[in-house]
Amino acid sequence: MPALVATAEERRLLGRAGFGVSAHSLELLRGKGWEGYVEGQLQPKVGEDAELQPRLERMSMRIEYGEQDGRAAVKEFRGLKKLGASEEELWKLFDEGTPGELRQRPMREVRAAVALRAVYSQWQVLELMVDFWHNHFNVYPWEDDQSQVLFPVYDRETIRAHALGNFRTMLESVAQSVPMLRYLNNASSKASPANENYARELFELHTLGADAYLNHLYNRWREVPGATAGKPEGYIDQDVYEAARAFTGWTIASGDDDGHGGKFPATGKFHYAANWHDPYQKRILAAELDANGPPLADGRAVLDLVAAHPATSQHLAAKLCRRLLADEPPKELVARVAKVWRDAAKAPDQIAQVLRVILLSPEMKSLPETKVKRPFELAVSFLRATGAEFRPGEPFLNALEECGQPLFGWLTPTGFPDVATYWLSSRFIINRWNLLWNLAKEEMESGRVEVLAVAQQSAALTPRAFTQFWANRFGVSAVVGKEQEGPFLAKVFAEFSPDEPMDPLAKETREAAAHAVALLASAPAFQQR
Amino acid sequence: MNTSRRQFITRCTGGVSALAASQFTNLVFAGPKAGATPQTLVVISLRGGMDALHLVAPAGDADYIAARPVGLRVTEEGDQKGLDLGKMDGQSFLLHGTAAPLLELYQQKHLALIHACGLTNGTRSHFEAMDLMERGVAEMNDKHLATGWLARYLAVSPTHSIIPGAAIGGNLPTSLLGSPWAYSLSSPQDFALAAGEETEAMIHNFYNGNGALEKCGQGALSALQAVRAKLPRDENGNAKPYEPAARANYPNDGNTELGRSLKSLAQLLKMDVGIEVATVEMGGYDTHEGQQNRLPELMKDLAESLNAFWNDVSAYHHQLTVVVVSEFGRRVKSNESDGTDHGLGGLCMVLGGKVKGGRLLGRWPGLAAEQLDDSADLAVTTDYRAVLSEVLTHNGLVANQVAAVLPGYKAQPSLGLFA
Repeated sequence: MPALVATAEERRLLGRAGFGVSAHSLELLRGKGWEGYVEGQLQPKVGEDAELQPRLERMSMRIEYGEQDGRAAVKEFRGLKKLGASEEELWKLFDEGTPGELRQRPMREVRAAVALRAVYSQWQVLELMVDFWHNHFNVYPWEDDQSQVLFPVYDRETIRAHALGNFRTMLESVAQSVPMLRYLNNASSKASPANENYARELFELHTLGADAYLNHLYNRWREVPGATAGKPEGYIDQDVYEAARAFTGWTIASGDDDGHGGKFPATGKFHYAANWHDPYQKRILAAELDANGPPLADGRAVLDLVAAHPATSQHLAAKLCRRLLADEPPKELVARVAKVWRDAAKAPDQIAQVLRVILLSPEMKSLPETKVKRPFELAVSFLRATGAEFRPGEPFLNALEECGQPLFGWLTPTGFPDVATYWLSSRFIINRWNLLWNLAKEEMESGRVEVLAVAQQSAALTPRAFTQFWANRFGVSAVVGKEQEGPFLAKVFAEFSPDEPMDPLAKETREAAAHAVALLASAPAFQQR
Repeated sequence: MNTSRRQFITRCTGGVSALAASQFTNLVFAGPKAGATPQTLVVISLRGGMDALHLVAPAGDADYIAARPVGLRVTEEGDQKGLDLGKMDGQSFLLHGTAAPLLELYQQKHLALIHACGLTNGTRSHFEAMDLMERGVAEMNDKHLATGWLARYLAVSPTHSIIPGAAIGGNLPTSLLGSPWAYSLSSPQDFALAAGEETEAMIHNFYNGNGALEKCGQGALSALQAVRAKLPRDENGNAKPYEPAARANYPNDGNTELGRSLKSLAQLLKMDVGIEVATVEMGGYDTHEGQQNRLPELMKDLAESLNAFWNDVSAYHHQLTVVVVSEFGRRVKSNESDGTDHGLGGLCMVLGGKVKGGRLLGRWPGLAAEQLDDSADLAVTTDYRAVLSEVLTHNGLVANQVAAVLPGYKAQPSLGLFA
């Protein structure tokens, strides 16, 4: 059966609501129509995923370490065994003598699974949002073994569990997650002075946003417009200082000394250390918190305040629209989305409600495709478009870093910038072309890209038909239009006659085909969505 | 570089607006630099807010001693004993011992230190502070200016060559935002198309539009060709591996982030591709926790890398100025995590062949509670733009050009950075 070819509108929708067109997603979209497709995506039946599940189960990655402390050396390929592991099971990796490679493994498994899911999951909106929230609540686990060990829990129970859920609920899960407690140092924050790292980024990055940071205008909380009526327009350093006090004692059951002659339990769970907490009264965003509140009450009150602040709805609405649609999203749409965000603040499916507005907005269909794909999006959309049999090998993951997107490897709490000015530099764009080239040539230990077999189902296997088939698939037909086609074929298929069938098994055919596909995907239209 | 060459090499402009483009045309004055030695300005950004008080310290100050445990200080005696830098405003300053390679540059009078320097805006947000500094401004209203200060500097300069602006690393920093003359590069040998040279023409044909993406693609291809043409080769035509000068000891065999970048930059300088501006990044300075372990490592890397770079490019000293900045300094009093939170006043370093170094410049505001900003942070007594404006002036810009590069900056008494 000839494969379906997406229309320009279908390509636009699937490019914005996920990682691009695949045969399977296109079939779903055709079957249900756009509204039906969106509804299905917003209520994903995770686990029911015929394309993904077997590949997750089959996936294996190299693990290698030498003999140490009486443990035998290991050199083998091993499945993703820690992906579904509980906190308790993962924390056992801190047992004495456990090789460092085993402690890093859970994080590496998440990284591989994220890539597989992006390519194969039918729940593309969920995967897009997982990517969004990992970015929004960025952590850098590479230098912290507690974060590496517990990374599957962070991915599964904090990010995935709430990706389409309620923001306030997710915020608390993040605040109490080991990777965030470690990354922004709240795990060591105690009275007094508190460590301000988490509190500051909670305001600036996770919730209200930098536009609501009014420190250059006001020195005291009373001066902030609206403050004396209990509705301050924004925040200043005094709010950060006080919020930091509110989170003192939010730490990890790490088994470490508590500094007061005792030890924390050693479970790897969130732990509230009452004797680290600064219990006295606080004022945050003009709200007063009484002295000596019950355990966790101060921190939870701060999370309530920042989650409910109007600036947060604005910040998140703009960020979501920027991610899905354009670097500079239409203000009117952002305002509509922000209102739904506030109206649905208490709903368990708040985020899904917000997404529905964006996904069903006319802008989804009408805005031009000016968003430069992130390198990961570029690679995944290429793999989906070509129907590749993909596995995320190390060379592939390393190549993403060369393009500016080391997965789970962004050092600062901003996450990757979501505007083209970051991705567009001479070094990065060259490496984007190189990434496609190496994927097409199957030189990244990352599976097979069967562009000849796929094309053969629908077209004669001549250089001309092959080129037009893939140009059409990638939406880049213009670069091999009437005048350009001749030179392209002469260059890439130099040893072939444009209209003579090629032998799909010949090495020369495979090389020319890979070359052609990598080049076509390098064209500007496929680099944007 | 002549005009046609400049038009041919169109560079990555990212999301630069038409407005920014018109700024450039307005800025290209008849420059004063014709005939003068071309200058190279290197800007090293220490990301995260470097704790100036842990690197260049008023070690004997009672308020300083009271504010921090010994691991977060430089001391006059003992394990953390510092190196003498002399006095400023009657206060003695000591350099952290791990940064000894900086003392050598200081004693050679190539390195000047400007303390209590920074952004006058008062923001304690990394991302806002970096944004403002890299746009060369201090007012929040200018946060969305479409160009960075180094981009505007390149626009003033009349003598563009092959690679006028080089961002060593991956992305173009905000300071180069909107420049059509800036490229990002890493090691010159690794700057290549996997598909081979013959593919370049074809990709070039694909990228013939006027969008930011297309311009970036065209610029990248031109840069590729230019770097390839200048890369030293052996008799078989293979690129030669880079050998730093004998006295250039990059730390960890050049395998630290900063060392690697500076080594690549030294190589590029010696390839004579005409670098007028280069940016280099070093991260990790956001030491809210465990500073006693983390910061000395960074200071050591910084000092050794800078020293190695300086010794690596000795033939270029007369035309080279290196400015080291960070978005802010850190809180005087440490927190209970053995770290320091975001502060204000920081340290700016200027290294150059024409710098009147070996001196502490600026004004020391003191560390007593009433001398601090918001009773907590080292005050800023020197606007970071005072340093930049002197560097710009040294590099041949006249007053209205400096004003175009640093809009809103009102000239202050000279620090006397240059001889």
